[in-house]
Amino acid sequence: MTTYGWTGSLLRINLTNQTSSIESSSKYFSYIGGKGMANRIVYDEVPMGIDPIAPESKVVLAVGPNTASSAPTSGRTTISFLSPFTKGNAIVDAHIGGDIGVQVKQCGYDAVIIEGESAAPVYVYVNDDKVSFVDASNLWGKTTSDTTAEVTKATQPGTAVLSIGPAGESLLNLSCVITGVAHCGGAGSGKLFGAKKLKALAFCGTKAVKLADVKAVKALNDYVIGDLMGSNNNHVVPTVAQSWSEYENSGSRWTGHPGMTWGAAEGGPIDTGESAPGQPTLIGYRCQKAVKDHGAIAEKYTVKMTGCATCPIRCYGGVDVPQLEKTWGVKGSHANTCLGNRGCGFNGLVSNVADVDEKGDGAFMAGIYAAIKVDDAGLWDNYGELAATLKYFMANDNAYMKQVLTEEEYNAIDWSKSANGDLTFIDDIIACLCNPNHSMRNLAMGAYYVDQKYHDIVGDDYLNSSAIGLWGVMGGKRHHGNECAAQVGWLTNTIYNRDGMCHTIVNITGSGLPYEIQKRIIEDIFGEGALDAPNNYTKMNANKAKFAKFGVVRQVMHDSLTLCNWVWPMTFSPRKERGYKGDLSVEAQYMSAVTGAAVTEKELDDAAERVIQLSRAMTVLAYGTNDMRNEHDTPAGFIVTPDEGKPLYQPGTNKLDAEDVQDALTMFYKEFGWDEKLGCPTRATLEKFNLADVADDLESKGLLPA
Amino acid sequence: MSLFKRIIGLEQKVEQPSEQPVADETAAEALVAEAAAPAAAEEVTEEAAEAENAEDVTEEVAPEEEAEPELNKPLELYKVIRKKTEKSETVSRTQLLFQPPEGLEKEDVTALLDSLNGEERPEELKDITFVKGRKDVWYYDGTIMTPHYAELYSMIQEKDLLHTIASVARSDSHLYPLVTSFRKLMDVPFRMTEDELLGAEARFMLSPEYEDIRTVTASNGVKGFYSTKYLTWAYADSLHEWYEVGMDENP
Repeated sequence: MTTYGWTGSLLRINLTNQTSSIESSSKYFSYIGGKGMANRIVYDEVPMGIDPIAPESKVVLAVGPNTASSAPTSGRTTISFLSPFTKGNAIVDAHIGGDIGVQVKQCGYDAVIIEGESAAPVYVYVNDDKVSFVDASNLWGKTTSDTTAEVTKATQPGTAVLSIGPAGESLLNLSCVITGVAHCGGAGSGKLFGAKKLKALAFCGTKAVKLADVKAVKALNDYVIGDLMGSNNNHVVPTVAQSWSEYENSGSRWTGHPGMTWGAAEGGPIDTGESAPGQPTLIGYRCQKAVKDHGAIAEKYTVKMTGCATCPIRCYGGVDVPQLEKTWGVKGSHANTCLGNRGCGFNGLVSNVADVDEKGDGAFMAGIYAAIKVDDAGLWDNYGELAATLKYFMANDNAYMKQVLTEEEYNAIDWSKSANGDLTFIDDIIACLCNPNHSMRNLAMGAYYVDQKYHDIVGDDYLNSSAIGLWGVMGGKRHHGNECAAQVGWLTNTIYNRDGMCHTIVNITGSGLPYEIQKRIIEDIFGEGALDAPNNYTKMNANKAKFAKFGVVRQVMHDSLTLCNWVWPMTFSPRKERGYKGDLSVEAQYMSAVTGAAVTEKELDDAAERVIQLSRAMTVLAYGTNDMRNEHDTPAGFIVTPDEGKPLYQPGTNKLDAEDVQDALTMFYKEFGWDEKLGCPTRATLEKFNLADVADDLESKGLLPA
Repeated sequence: MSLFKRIIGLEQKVEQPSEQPVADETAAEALVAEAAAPAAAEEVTEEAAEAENAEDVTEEVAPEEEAEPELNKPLELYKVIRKKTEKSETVSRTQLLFQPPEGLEKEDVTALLDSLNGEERPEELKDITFVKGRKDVWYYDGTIMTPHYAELYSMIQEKDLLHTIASVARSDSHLYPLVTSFRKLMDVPFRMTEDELLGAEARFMLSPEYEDIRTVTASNGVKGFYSTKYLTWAYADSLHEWYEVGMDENP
């Protein structure tokens, strides 16, 4: 029987024995794919609560039915494992783009399970059914870009390589895997690869992905690209007025416009021009991300935009900065996005960087320099937390840093470089972090563990400070939380055992549309009071809880299908003739067209919610307590501390009311059918989602609510 | 009437002429006269209009190689306006009258433009609409240009700096809401200089017409205009800080 969408197979790679096997993946179809499939495999095969780098710990990569289907932005992969850097070492996901997902799928797999530990450095090359274990001793110690180059040379053209750098090799908690020299999957994944002595994974697939209804998929692609999709984060309004537009908003990521170029494009500058809705061949010019991330100075260095497989948006700003090589000896070709474009904040470790050709280009080059160095090392930043922590400990003439480092370590570092604009200070810090014996590594354990170790030094301030900016004291960085949508944004953060990876809500609030249009559309779906005006919020209500739930359900759906949550869902449209209303049924239409299973929007939402129910239960198991309200969902202090002169519930603040936060949690728990006091899944809810075995597991450990 | 239009005080032509007549012949002629007078329209001079039309009208609308027995005058006018719109520009009544399309007289243009208000509108001009500025009337093809953009573009062409900034700031403060950053006004399509903006900031303080226009400065030093009709200082301050600094720190 032909399987559509899914390949029907998963690949198990055992590094201890250097063996592999192919198994059926069909029992996981009800978890959609991607995150859902990977989470369930981890639940089935990894005991919760163990050390993430224990021999029995595993790493699971999974793609979804949409992957390699041609659906726009479907080139995503989820990597699931136990968190090395947040409280409880609970289930966590890394999300990665590039071409790796498509190659995994075209090799014939829905998921890849990495288990065991190699005795020596190894990389695994998967070419369809053939799995090779290759000695990687010569690669150990190399950067991610050098490793990618070496493995690419040694394998078939078109191979996608996923590698770790010195950070992962040295088992640094805040380390990542990188593919395509730019796309990072974080959450400490590098440490787990390093513990398994797995330097890289390489995939080169030649198999077709079968679609149930090819014409329907094509029609959906045309509909989405022509009528629904705006720019990065599905911002549907351009930054500057264009002749076809009714609105403009400088906060938008639709930065392309007449006069804005890819200044260093091959053959001369390319004007990004107007790209009105309905012009699919121009959609790739809408997001000039180099300028968005680096500022206007980046325009003339921009070669092109790049991005993930099957994505028409292209949110990676590719730049070439020849001056960087002349001045700092580093080849200045780089592409990344968001924080990755500034070395995850490492550029902020050095101030007063001298300009080279024009005012401001020194700071710009610091960003590129830091990005190259951080990516090469395979460092992960926890959404800026690592650099923030380093700066926190370096403040006041290294007051705390002196208590972290030994005297010998401290004196070995030329701290004056930091204030004197010497970018090699970044190299020095990275070298310390990747040195298994250096005390500075303790600052890259993740904020929760940093606080645990140095609480006697930093007191309650560190974990609760705006300088570190956590959503919760369990160590997750705030990521489109209250600053984005008050209680709604913050609630979405609480679903994760890392930074809040949900972009559903910020795609709405940051769309660029006037508030009244956003409000009309959102209230039409979720009811009155669901969406507050920016920095002008009201007390919590049940409709906000519904809206927050929608946010995370769709994010999990996208990571399971897969579709990119940095663009989806299509809540809004750039088309004025649609009243800017998007279409939230498209994911289900894709699921139906790709797999042949007739799935409604509600059914797909439920399937995604089921994954959340599972991961919440896994978190309860990892924590060993079902009191999620107090052990997991506790906001960092700065979020509930009003700003001076800006009272709560008045225009001008996004700070939350501590009491209201507790009401918000209660309403949020109710939406998920969780115990409203504890915030943990109940048996009834788990059984409703056909997770009775998980309920039994919780009950056997005394973790079901009474 | 669009919300933007109501806020900035511009009127525009609507699709149903009977619903909102904008400019009768007398008013239109007065507008033309006002626009042509140096004291009233500093920048839209006859020479400038002729120069622009010499470039944009005469050269771009190539004459027919074989003369038609009867020139389709509405079509010729449409072509000129359409060409402008395709370049993301509106065209003023003054310009069209001073340099009529090839084969048309000033009187022809007047009659055709005035017909846009009534039921005798030629089929060829069904897509043409206009906005009424402070100094002139501005025409464009409404099928490919929005009234919002036409209003903005026309304001910019009329070069009334304070009016333009205040109009945009009031609209931004009310609609999104957001503060109108200096960066926005220095970018396309405005292309104002920092000196112009700083000068405007000072002049706003002296003008009762613009007493609601205030500035706020983000921690990165970038200033922005907002309207006290719609935003308090605290609200404007928080919004501007978010757009200028917070958004960058929380990408």
